[in-house]
Amino acid sequence: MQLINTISENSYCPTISFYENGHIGVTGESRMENPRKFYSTLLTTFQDHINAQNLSELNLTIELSYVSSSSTMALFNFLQLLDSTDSVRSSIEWRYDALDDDIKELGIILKDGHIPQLSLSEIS
Amino acid sequence: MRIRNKSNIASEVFDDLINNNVELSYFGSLDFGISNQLITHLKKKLERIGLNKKQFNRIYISFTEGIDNAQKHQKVVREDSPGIVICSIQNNAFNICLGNVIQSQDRLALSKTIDQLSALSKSELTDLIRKRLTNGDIANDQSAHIGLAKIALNSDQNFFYSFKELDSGELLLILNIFIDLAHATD
Repeated sequence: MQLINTISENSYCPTISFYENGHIGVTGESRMENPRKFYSTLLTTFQDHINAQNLSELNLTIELSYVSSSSTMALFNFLQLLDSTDSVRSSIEWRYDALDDDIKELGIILKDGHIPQLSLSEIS
Repeated sequence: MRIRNKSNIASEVFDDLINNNVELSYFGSLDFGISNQLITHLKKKLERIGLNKKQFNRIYISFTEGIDNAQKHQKVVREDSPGIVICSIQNNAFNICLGNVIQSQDRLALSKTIDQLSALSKSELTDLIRKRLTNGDIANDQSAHIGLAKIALNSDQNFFYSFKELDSGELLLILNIFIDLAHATD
């Protein structure tokens, strides 16, 4: 899978890796000062990418090591908006380390409460 | 600004440094940039100590949520109000001590919130966090207000608070969080 572009600004925002064929990876930490602004901008970036690559399908893999309580709502909102975008079919995979109860729990809450079609994957 | 009982606090800090493994100590303003540097610094320290994943997570979550909470409160009071951050290892427990200025009118509500959280069991805390994130208005809510709940959960309710009145009339909230390293694998 060929990497097209990476956005990695600092240690407190996730690294976004854009691959060919609509695959996007989100890694790192989410604990920025202004989460609403960050994820709103990210949504625009994703939409621009979808348009530029003429994508009908998006495969998003999220593997975050930490999500601050103050960025959780904005992250959830971002994922839900992405999932409900009419112009593209999205699949979202939430990955968590087997020993990371916090990230695992966030994935379960996201799936049960907001995005039922989210898939959860445990990594060892 | 002068802190009452300055000599007592200074003496306790000095004892802490000498008698315990002090991993991190800071006194000064706590803006986002400084908070981030402290978090990054602690992360490197924890990686050097060689903790297992669960121990690491408990400490990292407690510290990051605590400092985020401190920084936000401080921002409301005034940007240059001081904060205190001390992390040390005492009696096989990782101790995080955070002090930040709060508005006097917030004392009662804060005390009530922390007291209520302290009374909850681990499963009740987990349920509380789950409910707030599931039922919250994700499109509009700025925060789920679960930071202190996460601290309570990750410290197994081993956290204590106190207030110190400053000469300026402001209040200093001091939060002490203990993560038991012997049992932090559960």
